[in-house]
Amino acid sequence: MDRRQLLNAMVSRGTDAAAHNQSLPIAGGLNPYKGPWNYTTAAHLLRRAMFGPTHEQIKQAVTEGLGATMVRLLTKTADPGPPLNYTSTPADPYCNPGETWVGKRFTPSIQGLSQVRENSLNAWFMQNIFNEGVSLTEKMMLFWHNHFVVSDIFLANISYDYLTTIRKNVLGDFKQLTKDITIDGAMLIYLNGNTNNLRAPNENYARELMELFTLGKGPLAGPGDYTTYTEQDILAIAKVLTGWTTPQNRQQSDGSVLPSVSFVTQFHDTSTKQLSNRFNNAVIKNNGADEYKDLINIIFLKREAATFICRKLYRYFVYYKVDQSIENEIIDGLADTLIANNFNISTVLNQLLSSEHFFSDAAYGALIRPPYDWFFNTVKAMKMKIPSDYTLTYPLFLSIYRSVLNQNQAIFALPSVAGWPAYYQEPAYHEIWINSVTYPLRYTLGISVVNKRFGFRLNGQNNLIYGVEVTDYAAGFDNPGNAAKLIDDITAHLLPKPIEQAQKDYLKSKLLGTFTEAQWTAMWNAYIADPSNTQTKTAVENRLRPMLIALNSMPEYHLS
Amino acid sequence: MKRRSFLKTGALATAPLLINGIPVNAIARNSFLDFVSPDNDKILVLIQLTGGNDGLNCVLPLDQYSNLDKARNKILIKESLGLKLSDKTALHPSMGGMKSLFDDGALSLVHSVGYPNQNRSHFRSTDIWTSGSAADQMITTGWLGRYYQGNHPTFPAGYPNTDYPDPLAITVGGNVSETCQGPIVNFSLAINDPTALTTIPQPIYSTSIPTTNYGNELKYIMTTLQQYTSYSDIIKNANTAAGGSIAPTGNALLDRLNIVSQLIKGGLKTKVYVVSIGTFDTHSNQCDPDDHELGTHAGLLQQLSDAMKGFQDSLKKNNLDKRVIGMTFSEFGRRIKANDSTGTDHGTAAPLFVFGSCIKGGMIGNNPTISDNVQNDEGVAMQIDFRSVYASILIDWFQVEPSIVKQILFADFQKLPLIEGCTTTAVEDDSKRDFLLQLTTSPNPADQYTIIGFDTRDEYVRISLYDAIGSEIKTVFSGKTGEGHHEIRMDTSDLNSGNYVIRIASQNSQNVKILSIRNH
Repeated sequence: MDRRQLLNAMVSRGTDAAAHNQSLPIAGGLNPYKGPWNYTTAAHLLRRAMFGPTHEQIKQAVTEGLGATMVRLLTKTADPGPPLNYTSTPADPYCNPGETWVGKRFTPSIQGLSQVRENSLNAWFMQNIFNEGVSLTEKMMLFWHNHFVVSDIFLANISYDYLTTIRKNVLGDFKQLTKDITIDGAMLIYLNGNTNNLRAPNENYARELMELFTLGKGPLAGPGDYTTYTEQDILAIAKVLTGWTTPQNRQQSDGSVLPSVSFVTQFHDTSTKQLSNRFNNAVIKNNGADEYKDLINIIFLKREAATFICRKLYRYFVYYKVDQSIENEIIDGLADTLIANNFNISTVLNQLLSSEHFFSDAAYGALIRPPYDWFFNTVKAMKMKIPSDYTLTYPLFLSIYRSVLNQNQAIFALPSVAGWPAYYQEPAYHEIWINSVTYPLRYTLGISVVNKRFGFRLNGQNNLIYGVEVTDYAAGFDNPGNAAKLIDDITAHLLPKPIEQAQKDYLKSKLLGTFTEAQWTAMWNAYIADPSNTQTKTAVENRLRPMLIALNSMPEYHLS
Repeated sequence: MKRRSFLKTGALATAPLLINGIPVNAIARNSFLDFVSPDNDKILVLIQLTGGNDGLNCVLPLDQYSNLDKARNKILIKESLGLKLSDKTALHPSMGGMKSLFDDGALSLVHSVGYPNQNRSHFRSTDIWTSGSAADQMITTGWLGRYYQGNHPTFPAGYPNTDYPDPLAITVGGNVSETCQGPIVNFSLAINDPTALTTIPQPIYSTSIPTTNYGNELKYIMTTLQQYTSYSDIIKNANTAAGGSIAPTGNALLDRLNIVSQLIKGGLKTKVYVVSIGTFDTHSNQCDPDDHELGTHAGLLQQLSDAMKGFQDSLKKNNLDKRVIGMTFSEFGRRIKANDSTGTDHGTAAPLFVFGSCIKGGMIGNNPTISDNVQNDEGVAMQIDFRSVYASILIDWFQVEPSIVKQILFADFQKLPLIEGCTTTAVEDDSKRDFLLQLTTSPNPADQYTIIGFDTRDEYVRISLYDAIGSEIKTVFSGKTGEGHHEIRMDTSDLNSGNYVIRIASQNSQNVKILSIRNH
């Protein structure tokens, strides 16, 4: 008896129980979407594929059409320049402020230096999201980080290399990415591959490679047999992966390090490894530093290597609930595509994100925005102004990183190797993002950004404050002087579904305050006539802000 | 003396309990009605040790020390430094706080708690512990969620109300607890800092929410906001009434428990609080390689021990200690053998602690047995099923009828003598628990066969064979026995050489023995 039946038998459920936890209707399944293409459909696609698309980006997608927009989304963006050292406190002997620390030796004995490099990396990650353009690149960077989890590495150089490893195949070859990640320094450190050697095999990575990175754990079929793999396989695979280490290349004079990855032949178990019948009793012979490739090739012969990742992509981009019909009609088809295209991930992204199913009515607004999605939907879609001086850019993006931290989403600080629970924890899944702690945090953070009170201190100076340029944001719409039209346009931009007239009227009342619609028109026209006049600008800002704060406090704002 | 049937049926008959104006008995005939005795004011605090606690570093079986030394000399603490609970058992030297609770009779150490067919995945095993289900059962509700579901089938609609003015359960930290997950909603409210609860103006809500996926998620978020708004003043007021915030102590777990004690002191009727501490996933650098009494795990144990003691002291000071018990849990223990990274990998069973003034202090079960040839993947054999602990708490602390506990936990479990005194109702006669099931196996190591000997009363017993990682290989015997000594010949010729565990369990007792099989 499955869980549903069981509970139905045991407890009487509320009226909304039946609808709760249902998967999306299949609609047209994976058939290519041929329906209308307009602002609503384009916004849905860009919201899911990016972090907070701007009004202009959506309009461009409408003009260009679905096909051309998919081409844009599936084009990897140019690699961002490496992260920079943004401060002279403390001084970094191998890297001046304004230079990158990537590839430079690191001196652990200098108090606070490790933190500066990590801060720089975290800020840089946020900056890349902010500058993403119309591409799936950054959304997939975060996807892979949540898939091939590493956490608490505390060695920024190694963490940067890991992001480079991912970026190489961020929209590319999943099989190659799995190979590269298997011998990536951060992963070797995080899952103890670097201490996995001939004399004392450490099976930590071997286990997660099967359970979380490639095949998934099937039902228990017998002692130590998880259907997709067995405990015997874990022991054998641990042996295959012996010999990889992360030497620190310590310099004796100043104790500085430059960690790297190397294969030490004498640590490698050269015996022949026997896999179980779950792998058709495959045998892996000694192949030294290339043996891990043989292993990944064997793993990727199994269909689960495709179905498992497709299920995860579906949960990330479409909806969390995968029942048997989604499994049959969507996941299976995606897996076929992935296998037929040698695990090129962009082929399934293309198929999924331009399918009838993706554009079916029920798919709109059904996902709860994760913290990064939610936050960038505010600062990016509403055009926060970013200072160009790196000594300010980095602290600003660092404070963005920190401000989202307590909403339980933080890069390089994931709660476990399984990633963020919102992507796997039944039955709540993405509802985990929102609770009585995080909702008020979102509310207050939203206010600070809209009110331009989002700030940080730098070297004892006064609080530097930033936020969204609400006037620039409003000016992007067709007729901002028309209060009702502006509310229509803004809600169409920032909310996934139309809201009720009473809700729009409420937002309009926040915009108008004690003024009339005609007075708002006059205020707006006065501002446009002379945008440099701070008095008229402030008058308009003081009306836009309460409206945007009210929008931000609406439950609808947290859906995508 | 037999368990007295509780007054709750009578109490309900005279003063019908209403939920949203509907008498409860009209709502759900088929539900777990009347889980809670109306006058039961008992509180349970769960402390989750995330990551898998190394039980053998936490509780040292002194009588196994030489074999332990063979298996884990790179991390083993010095025998002489353990804080002795008895001649045979000692706590880690950093656990002075819990040692003093033990000496006061306020701590129960339950040995080798786990479940058959141990799953060594953090996630699956955590699900098993939080859902209170068997390893092969996929249950997504929490064991406490099911406990709440019966009395509160319509929650959160209409809550808070006059009968239930306070949150039903509270998680201190940024997340709700899976233990309180119901079929539709989670029954726990997450709070972080009761002194810093923002007031959010109520937006205009959508009035006709569609029954679509969008509609359901929208409703979830609306409910969260409404619940937050309704409960935040209640929490704020309770905290203020108890004297406001307590200054940070430097011990994050104690800080969270201090919030719990403030809210209890402030009069909240909340029955369950959940806090967590981690990560205990000590694959590497579990201890200082030069000084095994120090390091990551020692720090965590100290934090746990100090927090438990501090919490109990503050309850006592406020005269609330007779209303509160606490329980630790972790998804699994760790391997007996240390790995090459001064750490330990995922294992099987581990000790669990229950504390409070109403606890029958002492130890339940025996020290684990460590053989002289521990296998690489060998974990500590399970003696006591974790659902026995849950069942005992539900029955003896929350006074839930055993038949309903059986529904919540999907089966009957042996009840443990955890609770003593404090309850208004009499507890079950404990005398039959004193009987310890004797278990022998010979020859051991076995070659081709072994004879299992056991002494029982007139009762149902089950004897199972487990492999070293905790998978149940076979049921050797299951059925009713007469009183006296029994012997069963078990053929081992079809089994691979290695270490196995024989476990015998009855309704009231259990025992385990390690069996080595060396077939020639």
